[in-house]
Amino acid sequence: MMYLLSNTVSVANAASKRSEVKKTYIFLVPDGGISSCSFDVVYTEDYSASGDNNAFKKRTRWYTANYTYASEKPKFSIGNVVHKKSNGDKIKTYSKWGHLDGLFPGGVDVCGTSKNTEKATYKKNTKNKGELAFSVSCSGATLPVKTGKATIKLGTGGK
Amino acid sequence: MMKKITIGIGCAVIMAGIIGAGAFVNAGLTPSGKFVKLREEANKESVSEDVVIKGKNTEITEAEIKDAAIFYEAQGESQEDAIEDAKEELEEYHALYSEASKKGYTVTEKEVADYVSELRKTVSEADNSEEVKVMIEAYGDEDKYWEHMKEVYMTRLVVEKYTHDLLEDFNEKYTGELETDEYNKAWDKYFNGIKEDAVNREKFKTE
Repeated sequence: MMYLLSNTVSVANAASKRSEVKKTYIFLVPDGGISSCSFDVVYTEDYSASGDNNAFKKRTRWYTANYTYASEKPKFSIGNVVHKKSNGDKIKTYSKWGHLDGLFPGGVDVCGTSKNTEKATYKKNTKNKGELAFSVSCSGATLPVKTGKATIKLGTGGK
Repeated sequence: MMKKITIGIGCAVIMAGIIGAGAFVNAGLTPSGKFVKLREEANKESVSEDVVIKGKNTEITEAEIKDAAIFYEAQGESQEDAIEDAKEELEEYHALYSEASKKGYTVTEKEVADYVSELRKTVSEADNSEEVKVMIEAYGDEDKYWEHMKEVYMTRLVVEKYTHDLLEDFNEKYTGELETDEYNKAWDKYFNGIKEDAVNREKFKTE
């Protein structure tokens, strides 16, 4: 099996879109030290084309994280994938996640992967987007919760 | 008698005004902004290194408590509550250090120096480096801050090694998906239990 890193990979009429976010956040904490959380989140959407439409049949979440901390571990959470219209209105939240085998590099504190196989069909020229949100916080630190998301544009061009 | 009461009320109004004005000045600040302000004020005060809490194997100084309390006060706690939370946090931290030492975790000065040097680099490259740099600058001289970190990490790195291994053990046993809210709750329960046991074993007493 090949592990492909390009943003859009096409095989016959099946393809995949991918979004990756890497971040490192640091927190000064009351014990006098500095805690940190470095993470890498990858969100993918697999789809196949049929006429003017694309059927999105599978989406995956991959993540790795490393921490430094003493008495309070920073909390890193990833959420569900949400499909939204271009104006931000929610279309659907994908909350059923199943096991997915994954291969990860060594030297990470935490890693995981999961998949959702609910189907969604959109026009090829849709302006809809998929979002995978994440957050990082650290108890005792004065810095606010850090939030972000990996985003995929679900349109693939066409009329 | 009436004059004394009037003067007393007058003083109370002035004091309330001063406190109110202080609260008003702080009201518009973020917790980090408040931290910077409180930290800069604390730099002007003399620091007592007197031991105020003693455990079986560790000691907590007044300076440590005051430094830690700034974090909680900056988040809106009263000075009294901030001191209490700082004591609780430091008891856990020192108890973990005691546990780690008993289990054989150690560091060398060279190891700490290398670690702090790498940490300084991480701080400068982190995605939120700007907001953290502002907080570090509030300690005064930045180079002195990093020199001080070498002292802090002679203890903290021992704790970090221990808690890192605790996380590895926990993750090996955890059967659900990692990095979800459920996982974070389960970790908190596990880690809080370890900290509580460690604090109990240390039998802290106020000096």
